[in-house]
Parts: sequence; C-alpha cells; structure tokens
Amino acid sequence: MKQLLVCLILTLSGASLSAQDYAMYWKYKDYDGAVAVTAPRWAIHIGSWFLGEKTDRKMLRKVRKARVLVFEGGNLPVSEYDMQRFYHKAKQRNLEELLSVRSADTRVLVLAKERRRALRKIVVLVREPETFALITLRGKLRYEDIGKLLERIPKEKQQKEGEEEGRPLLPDGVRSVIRI
Amino acid sequence: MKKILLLVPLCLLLAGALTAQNDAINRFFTQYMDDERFTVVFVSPKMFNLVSKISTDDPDWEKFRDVVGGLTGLRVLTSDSISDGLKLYKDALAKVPAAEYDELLTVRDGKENVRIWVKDSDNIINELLLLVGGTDEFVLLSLTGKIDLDQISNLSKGLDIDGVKHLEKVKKN
Repeated sequence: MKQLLVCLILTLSGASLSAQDYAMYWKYKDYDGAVAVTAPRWAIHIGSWFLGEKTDRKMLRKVRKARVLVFEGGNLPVSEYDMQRFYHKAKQRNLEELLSVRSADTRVLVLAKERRRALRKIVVLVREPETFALITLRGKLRYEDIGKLLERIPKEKQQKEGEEEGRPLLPDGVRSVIRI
Repeated sequence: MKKILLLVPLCLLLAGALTAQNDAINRFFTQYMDDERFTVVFVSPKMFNLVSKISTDDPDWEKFRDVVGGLTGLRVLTSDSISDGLKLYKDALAKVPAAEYDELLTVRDGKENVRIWVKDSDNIINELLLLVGGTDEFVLLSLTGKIDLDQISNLSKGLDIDGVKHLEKVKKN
C-alpha cells in the first residue's frame, strides 16, 4: 500500500514537473482568436516524408511532440503576469533559460531541458503588443544530430550565394535566432 | 562553539562583499532592463554550455566553440536611437568600480566613446565589460567566463548582436 502511495505521488509530481508550457497551452487554446496546434509523433513522422534531405528527416523524427499556440491581432489574453508566472515556474521545473531578448515591445524567451547529452524539450515564447506565440518541441535532439544539421547550413548558403568570403562563424540558423 | 559563532558572520560578510563587487553594474542593467528605448539581450551560461557541446566538422564552428566554451554569460544593454547616450555613458562610467577592473582600451572617435575593462585573477580574464556612448548610441556589455582576448573578436563575428561588434576593437589593439 505504501509503495502504491509513493508511486502515485511520484507520478503526479512528475506530471506537474513537466507541465508548465502545457498548462499555458491548455488554459488559452480555446480562447477567441487562438491558433492552437498539437502535432503528435505520427503526424511529425508523416511530415518528415516530405523533406528532401535525409538529415532533416532524421532530425524531425526525433521530435516527439510539437505544440504551437498563437494569438494575433491585439487584445492578447496572455498577460505579462502569465508570462512572469510561466517563467518562474519553468525555472523551478528544470526548464533552463537559454536566451532572452527584449527589443522595444518584443520579448523572446528560449528555454530548454537537457538530459543525457540531448535536448528533451525546447520552449520558445514570443510576446509582442499584437502577437503571442508559444512553441514547444519535445523529443530527443542529440547534440550530434544538431551538429550534423549545423554543418549543412553554411554549405547550403555557400551553394546558393557561391561565395566564400565573409562567411560568419556562426551558421545562419543560429544567427537568426539571436538576431536583433 | 564561540569560534564557529564568530566564523559564521565573518563568512557571511565576506560573501556579501564578494557579491557586491558587480552590484553597481547589475543595478544599472536592472534599471534599464524594462526601458523600451533599449534592447536587452541575455545569453545564459546554459546556452554557452550547450553550444560548446555541439561539435561539427566545420572548422569555423569549432573555432567559435572554442571561444564560447569558457564563457558563462553575456548581457547586453544597447540602444542606437537614444537622445541622451553621452549622459548615460557618463552615468555608467561613474558606476564602474575602477578598483575591480583593469582598463584595457579607451577609444574616442568623434563623439563616440568606447571603453573596455577586464577583471582577471591568476592571469585569467574572467570578466569583460564594454561601454560605448555616443550622441545617439549606448552599449553596455558584460561578458563573463574564461575569456581569451585573442579569440574574443571571433565572438562578434559569430553573434549578430548590436554592440558586440565593438569587441573587434580588442583584437585591433
């Protein structure tokens, strides 16, 4: 009986530990103007068939679940308080802040959860006066796979532009994330 | 027992003094963090840690990895359309604890002032502070971690952040 109780507590605490972005998604997904999409693993797998490159296909298949919540066009139901609450809770629940940018009215926050040399969860929050976006990716993105993906980006750029000089150290994919 | 009772407040005081060193700069960042005239960027130690774990066959990436491998944080407060850039520059300048930092570089180019300080211990630079002030420009950048000055200019090529470009001046000098 005791074991059963411990198991129950552990299961419940495990669910609450990983549920910060989930809570925000479920709270607002039925609001007016919300664009809420949850892509399960099988849908992502089917989506990957349409990618030309094997590396891209492989990478996409590592994503187990993708969740997107978008509000556009003013009167955002997600308040600043929600954002702060999310941020504080997320930090308590093993989601670590990678990057935060605020430029004028725009705030971008990138959080991630890492375990055993792989990114298990990536959460991107974007808040503008008229737009809000919450993007969550869950899966097992190994550093080796990310490395392989990064290797391809500059090569593709070179092929397109046909130039070697002035090539930035950081690939475009990463630069665009931290571009202001 | 008495010894322990004496040691505890002493340790607390010491810890307080150590953390207070950067307080002035931290306060400056905090003061303008929500000011919409500024762009604020924070790259966490975790981000640098993650980047340093990703290896590729690309030599440029490996160079970048070497640079960020030792870094533990980057904070940038920048604005390029500000009316009181010089005033802010002077404000920030007054707040830099001169005793803690060694001045590495001072550039005055027209109305633009650039200053770079470093903090080192045992010949290892563990903090770099960059301050830029012009009539309509202001940048305050704080970079922490194990910093190699020879390679730091590579960071400005890698990160497309306003203000970080001034780090290239470290190499030129």
